[in-house]
Amino acid sequence: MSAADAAAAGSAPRRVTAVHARHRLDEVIHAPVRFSITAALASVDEAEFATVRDAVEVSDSVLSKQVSTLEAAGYVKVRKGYVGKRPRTWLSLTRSGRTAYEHHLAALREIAGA
Amino acid sequence: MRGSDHDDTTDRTETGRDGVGTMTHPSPEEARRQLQAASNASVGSPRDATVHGLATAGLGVLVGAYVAVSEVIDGRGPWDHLALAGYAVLLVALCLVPRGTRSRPRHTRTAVRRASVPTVLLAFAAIFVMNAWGHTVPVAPGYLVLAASVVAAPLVAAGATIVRGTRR
Repeated sequence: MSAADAAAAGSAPRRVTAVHARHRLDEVIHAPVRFSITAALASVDEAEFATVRDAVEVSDSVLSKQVSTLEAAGYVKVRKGYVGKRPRTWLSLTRSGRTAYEHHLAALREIAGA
Repeated sequence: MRGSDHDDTTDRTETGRDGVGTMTHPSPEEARRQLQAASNASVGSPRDATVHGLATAGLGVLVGAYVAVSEVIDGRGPWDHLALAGYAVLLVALCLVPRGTRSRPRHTRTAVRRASVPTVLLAFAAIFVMNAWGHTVPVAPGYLVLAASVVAAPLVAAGATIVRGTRR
């Protein structure tokens, strides 16, 4: 119904207000495991793969899969290196990942009414 | 739950009951729960912060000490080379120490970068002043200590900030 039709029908047109906060939730981050990974990485500059795995309480394969999704979205940077002879993988949030996480938290705060 | 290969992650949408909330449309209660989880999530540890902080402060002390020592042994043949070699070895060792940690605390890299610039500038300034001064009168030990402290100060302060950061 257009505004003119509504006016003709005697009722006020329904106004579109600001977008609800749930529409601002980041779909990539919103998934439970990815949210936990992002929250964990937000507290540090960089963390070892095994440390994140233990903190999030998932298996290597699940973490690897979810990190790949975050990496594809440009939210996480993966760095491989060695400590002595042992290979190590380091994870960190990119700038856009950190920004997306902040926006996601802001949307959650709005939903929570905080 | 660790070790589970069950991928409970997500691209599915849970059905909310009685409008309570779904994964894509979280209820206020669910949003509060997620915010609480986010505020508790951390992979940083005080031990890692201490290692990074001490390594950063140690770097400052090392540069400051080298500025003072190089002034004392200036032009004394082999001691010059020995001091330079010792400085290089300790510098590399201090840079390698944090590699053994499992996480790098937030803002560590920025703090080190920001403190390194004034440390290097102060080191050059101290060497320049002491060289100009030392031509006429030997530099007193007190001034050497003062110069070393001033040079070390920015990185020591950065180290303290890194250690304190995780204890807030």
